[in-house]
Amino acid sequence: MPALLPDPISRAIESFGRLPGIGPKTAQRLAFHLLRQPREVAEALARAVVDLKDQILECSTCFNLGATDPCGICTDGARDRTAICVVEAPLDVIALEKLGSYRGLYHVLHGSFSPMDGILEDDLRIADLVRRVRAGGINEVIVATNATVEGEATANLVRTRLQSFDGVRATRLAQGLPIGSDIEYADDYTLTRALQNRTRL
Amino acid sequence: MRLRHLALAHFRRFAAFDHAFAPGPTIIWGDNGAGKSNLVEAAYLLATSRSPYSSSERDLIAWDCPHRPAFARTIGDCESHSRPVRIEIRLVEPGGNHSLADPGAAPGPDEPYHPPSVRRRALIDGQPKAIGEILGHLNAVHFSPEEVELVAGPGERRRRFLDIALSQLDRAYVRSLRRFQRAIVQRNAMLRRLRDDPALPRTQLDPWDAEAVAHGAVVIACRLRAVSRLNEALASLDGTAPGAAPIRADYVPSVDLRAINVPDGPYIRGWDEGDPQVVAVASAMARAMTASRGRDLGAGTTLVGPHRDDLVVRAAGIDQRLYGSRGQQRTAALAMKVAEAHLMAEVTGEKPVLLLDDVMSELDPGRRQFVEALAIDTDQAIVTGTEAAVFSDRFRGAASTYRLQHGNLVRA
Repeated sequence: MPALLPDPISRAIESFGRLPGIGPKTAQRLAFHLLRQPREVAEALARAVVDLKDQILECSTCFNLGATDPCGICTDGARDRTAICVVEAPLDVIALEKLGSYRGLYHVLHGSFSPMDGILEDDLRIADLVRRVRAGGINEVIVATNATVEGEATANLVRTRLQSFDGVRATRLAQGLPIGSDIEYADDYTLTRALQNRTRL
Repeated sequence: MRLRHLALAHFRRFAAFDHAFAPGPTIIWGDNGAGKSNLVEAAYLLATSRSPYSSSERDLIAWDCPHRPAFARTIGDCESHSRPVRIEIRLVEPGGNHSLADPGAAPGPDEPYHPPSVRRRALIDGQPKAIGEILGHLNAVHFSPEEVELVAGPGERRRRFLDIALSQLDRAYVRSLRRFQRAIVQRNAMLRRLRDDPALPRTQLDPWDAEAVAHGAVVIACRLRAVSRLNEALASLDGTAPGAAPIRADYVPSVDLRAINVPDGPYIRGWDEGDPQVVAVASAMARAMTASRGRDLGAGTTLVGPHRDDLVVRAAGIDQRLYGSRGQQRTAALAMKVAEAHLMAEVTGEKPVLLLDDVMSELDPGRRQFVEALAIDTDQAIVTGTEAAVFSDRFRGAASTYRLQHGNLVRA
């Protein structure tokens, strides 16, 4: 096919098109939009993208993403160093941090156990978690993986890898009714779980 | 349980179709290719979210639809426990935008994109819902000449029979079945990884065994209870057509369930992992999965579990799949469908809609009479045939009769 577009434009379209959720039409729209913007807008975007790769580090303790290694949470002396909350992704840390009520540490697995996607135990940070627990001082590991089949299997895997540590309590986030919602509108599974996990009044 | 009104757009051969159904039986007759089966198919789609005839929803879209992306729409105004509910299913060509020419419709939640398949969108009372949410609003039992495969065909056919019947009755069943299937896909992927790389620790199978057992045990327990109720219904048919010989269906599990007693009594919805019977099935299944590991590793697939179970349909004790004549198999399949309707009525307290597609011409006069009586007795039946003469005068007197011609139902 003859090149209908100058090379820089088609390269930009191609690059946008590789991003998740961006189809060919959207990629074109983005490229032409940027073309019409002042140079500063394009430079800010280019710098942000490069900084993302250059300046974001993975914490070598908890594997959360941050500007420093070890990360701000791992070095924060005010946090409860006896509890580790295990999550699938950095965004889960943000969700939990927004609460403000959890004061322990984190461990980011960077995925869930999913052989069909080629993600096996060694692709997750489970061995590193075991190492952290073995180092001592941990009383509780809270497994906060998703309530999907893969999240449950991941939780199961983490539990079995930690079961040899006496004095370390492995817990799983409770499943039940969303607060502020009517029982009438809860889906059956959630309601069943809420009933199973009922608590004393 | 009733389908009061059916509206189609770009569905199969119907650019547009609209019809208000009267209670009781509706006869639709017309030439081959007039589209009778398409109407039955649309009603079944609204009940189950699947076509009884086609495994690909692509086939349901009229591709001469002038819109792009092409779409098909079926809307059913139903009545369940005297409450009206509107079910809508849209099938949309992959790619392009999915807002359709309907500015009032909010887009459904994002689904993973699978290029070759058509997107199914469901709306209940105008609100976008997950496709599984439509189950249970319109319960239907479908019978057509191809349904002889329920008895004559492979085990997959009989598992689907149980799965579709139970899915319409029990949301917990749908959820457990889906999670079980997902766990098996993952377990099979893990098996193949282990086969290709013997250095990987086999303990990575454990979580998948646990997930498969947790959800598979619910599937098996629900099926055992349902089969026991189906047999109760089959026994009540003894001596009447279609049961010339007493028909029974026995669940043949791939795991050893001899120690499990299925309690008598009605089918109970909403079983979960904590139920004592489920716990008993789960421990049997867990043992079987552990024992099967070596074979599973060799095969690269999971050889035990509800996805490998079967149902043996017997007439007077004789396995009809192996030894029944075509006619006997058809009779047995009909009996199974009648039992399914009994089960649905028992669990939901409402008789399901019967969708009888071109079945009369295949039946002898005695069974035809039986089916007609059944269609009169239920809340609603949609019955098709190539000519009005296959129906008795008595049945035609009780039914609303229409001829399907050029895509329209004409009172006949």
